[in-house]
Amino acid sequence: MNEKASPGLRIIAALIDQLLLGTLCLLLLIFLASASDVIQLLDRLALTVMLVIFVFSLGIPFYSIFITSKFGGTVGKLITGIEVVDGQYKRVSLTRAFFRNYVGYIVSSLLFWLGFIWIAIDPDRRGWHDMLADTFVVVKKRGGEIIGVLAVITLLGINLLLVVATIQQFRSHKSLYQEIFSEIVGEIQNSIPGDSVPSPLPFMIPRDI
Amino acid sequence: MASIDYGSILKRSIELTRHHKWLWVYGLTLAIFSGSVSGNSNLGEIFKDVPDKIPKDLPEKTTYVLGQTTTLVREWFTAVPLTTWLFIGLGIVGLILLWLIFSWIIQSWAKGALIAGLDEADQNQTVNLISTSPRGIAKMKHLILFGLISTGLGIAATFVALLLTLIVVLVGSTVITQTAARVIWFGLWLLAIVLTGIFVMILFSMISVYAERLIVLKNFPPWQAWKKGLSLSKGHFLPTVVMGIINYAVGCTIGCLSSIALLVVLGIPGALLVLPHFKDGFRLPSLPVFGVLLVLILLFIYSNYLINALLTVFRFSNWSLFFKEVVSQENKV
Repeated sequence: MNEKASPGLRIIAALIDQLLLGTLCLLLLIFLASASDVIQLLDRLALTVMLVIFVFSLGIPFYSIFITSKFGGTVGKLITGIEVVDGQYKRVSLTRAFFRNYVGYIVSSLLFWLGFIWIAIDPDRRGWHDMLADTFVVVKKRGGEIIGVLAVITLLGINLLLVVATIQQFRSHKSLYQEIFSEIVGEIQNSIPGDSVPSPLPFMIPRDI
Repeated sequence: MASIDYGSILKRSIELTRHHKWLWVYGLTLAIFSGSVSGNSNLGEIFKDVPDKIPKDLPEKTTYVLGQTTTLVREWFTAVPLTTWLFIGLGIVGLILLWLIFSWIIQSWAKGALIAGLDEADQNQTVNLISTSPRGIAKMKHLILFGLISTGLGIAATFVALLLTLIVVLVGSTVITQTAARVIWFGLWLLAIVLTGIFVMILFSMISVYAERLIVLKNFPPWQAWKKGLSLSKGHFLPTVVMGIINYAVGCTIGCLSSIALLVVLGIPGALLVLPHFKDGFRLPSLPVFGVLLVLILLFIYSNYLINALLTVFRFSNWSLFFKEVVSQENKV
């Protein structure tokens, strides 16, 4: 079956991937926000920096290339039953997957993500990243829309819970952040002479959330 | 050697750039990844005053900023093991290196695809991403190797220049005793090195122009392309310089005019929004104003990128058509 995946199905698949990434980011944020003093906050910040460098910046992109080549797509695509194939409708090689997911995605996002929007315009449902790498996204299993929507709703729910948990963690350590922030603002105001004292940005002052 | 018809080259390039919009994608990629914004617009002039506006005593002021928290932060920094910092440092360096390699790969691919696409367009073939991208991928490795060869030779030339400068300085300091004679000696050397440097840079740019097209259009391997590029540059030095000047002049003119137009269209509304906040001392703008300013800045940046994309396609087309003229003249000879 070489039916091209519709833009809607691809959006659902992309949403699943982004929500999974969002879940990881929120877990990291909760980890940071649960620090009870400055030293613990700095320790966790250092660990976060290492995770961002090695996992988010290096690990996840390489995982995306490997999984696309080995299984036909990222988690979102696998859940929705769609697959990335080459011009002969076979699994893509690692090189082609790298080109599509790295080079192609960057080119597609250059001008307000026009390369992704192109999927809706192109008769073969190809974005710029697909054209550059000569790939198609085809439907391998039927019923992907329903499973995909259910996965999106579930992940949205999880993310919402995590957001609430993050806010709760920030609130429970509000005094620590207020102390650090007011110290910083106070020192800035003391060091700048005369009338040119800037007011802090309204959204930077911790309020009762 | 027959003279080159620069007018028809420019006319044809405008036509090719206008009608083959898929090539703008490669132009945009090169414009963003080559950091070529300042080469084609007046942004450099606009930002030249910025360093003067930064307070000179800023480092001193920032040490007062954190107070007690600074002490805790300082203690924490000293308590963290060195291996952790090395790990983080290596990770950051690794990321930067990977990004540089990745940018080089993208640039090489985009260059190859653009040169191939312009060639197809000139032959009135259908040009789109599907037809041009594979040619860019096929020539990517050779273009990267050529880049390495060029960079290596550039580094070698710089090393030679530094070595010669050292010898000149030694001779000037030890052999020449009179101050006036020393000044003349160093002055002459400085003039010689600057002029030679400019000449070598121009020559290397010319070699790149020819070699990239030899690699993509004539399937030359990298080192042969460099040698043939050098031969073509020497044999057609003046016409190539003229083409380069025309390209640069057109690019600068359009870049400056477009930057001025954008500053008027986007800058004036932005200034009107920001200026009231400087009345009676500085007040930070509200969120909606901040949002509008951000949109204006993004529009300015993206418009500049789009103009650079068009200029990149135009310049590449000029060089490709010029290259074809030169090669056809060589074949006639």
